[in-house]
Amino acid sequence: MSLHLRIVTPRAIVFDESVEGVQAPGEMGEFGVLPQHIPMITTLKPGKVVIYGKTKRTFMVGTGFAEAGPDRVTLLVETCVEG
Amino acid sequence: MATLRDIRTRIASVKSTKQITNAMKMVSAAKLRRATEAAVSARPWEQTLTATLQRVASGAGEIEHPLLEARPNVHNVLLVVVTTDRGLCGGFNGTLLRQTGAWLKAQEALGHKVAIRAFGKKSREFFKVRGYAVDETRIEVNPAKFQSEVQTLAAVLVGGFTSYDYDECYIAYNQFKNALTQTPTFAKVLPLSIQGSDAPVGAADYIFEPKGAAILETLLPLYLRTLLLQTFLETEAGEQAARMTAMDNATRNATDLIKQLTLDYNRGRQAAITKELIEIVSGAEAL
Repeated sequence: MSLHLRIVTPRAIVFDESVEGVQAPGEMGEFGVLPQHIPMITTLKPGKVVIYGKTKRTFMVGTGFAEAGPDRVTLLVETCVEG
Repeated sequence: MATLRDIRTRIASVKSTKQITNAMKMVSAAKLRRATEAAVSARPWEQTLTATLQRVASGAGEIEHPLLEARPNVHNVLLVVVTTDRGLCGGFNGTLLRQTGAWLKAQEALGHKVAIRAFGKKSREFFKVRGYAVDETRIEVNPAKFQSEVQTLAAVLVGGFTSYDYDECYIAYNQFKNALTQTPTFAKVLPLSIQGSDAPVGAADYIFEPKGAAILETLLPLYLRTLLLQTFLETEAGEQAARMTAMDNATRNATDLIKQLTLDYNRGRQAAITKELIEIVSGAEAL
């Protein structure tokens, strides 16, 4: 079971790959998404997104929101840089 | 009758004009590529955002939010006009501004008071000449400043709308259809309208965090900023496209003109030689 993660900013699609899990800074608190997540839409506050896959990657994101489903997660953020 | 020297000067001047228009065409072509790329790469963002908003709209049932409130009695209207700083791009600004003039008259006829915010030197000149009062003019807005300009503009719109200074906000810009067509467009940006899509997308099963209406608090301003950014990106792309087309035409006209002038010049030169020969021959015959 895999999870497809997309990070989209107004400038580009920053990330578009299958991952094992992702951790994101929700406005109501940090949350994690694994495969088979219940459909959810939540707002994001500026913070750190951690992606767990073959390697662990970290992105700093601005405000935006996340949409999660059983097999995919979309993060729409105004800014995003890896680091 | 133009003398040979006149024609020669003329050819030289047309040639140098052609060089300039040709160079401008090349520059615009390069900038156009970059601008379309920017406009295109903003599209996934916009589509995803719109899709999500629709999902929220159809999932949360009746949604209410200050920014969505359509007011029955409209008195004050805000118009944001987005033009370019520079000319030499065909009818790009002219068409939009002419339609803006007509639009403003139509609004006045309806009894609406229109406040104007202008972007670009071309709209500044237009409103100055026509004697319209403009709230604020922003010039030299280049792609690097789009994000921050959009932030400011969105804040002004939201502030003015929620404090009842404006009942409706419109934005006038050139929609970028493709490199050859840009259509002047008057889009209503506030109140925002979101159509819940008819085709259900399994919206009912979504959980929202924060709950329903509160999520709009974040999503709607984001959506507004996206709309505004889109107009800026399209104006930039349209400007470059329009300039490229205009300069391409100018270069072609110059080429035709040079051809015609060279023909005239050679014809005149031949005539002069012939005339001289006849003079010599008839002079010799007379001896």
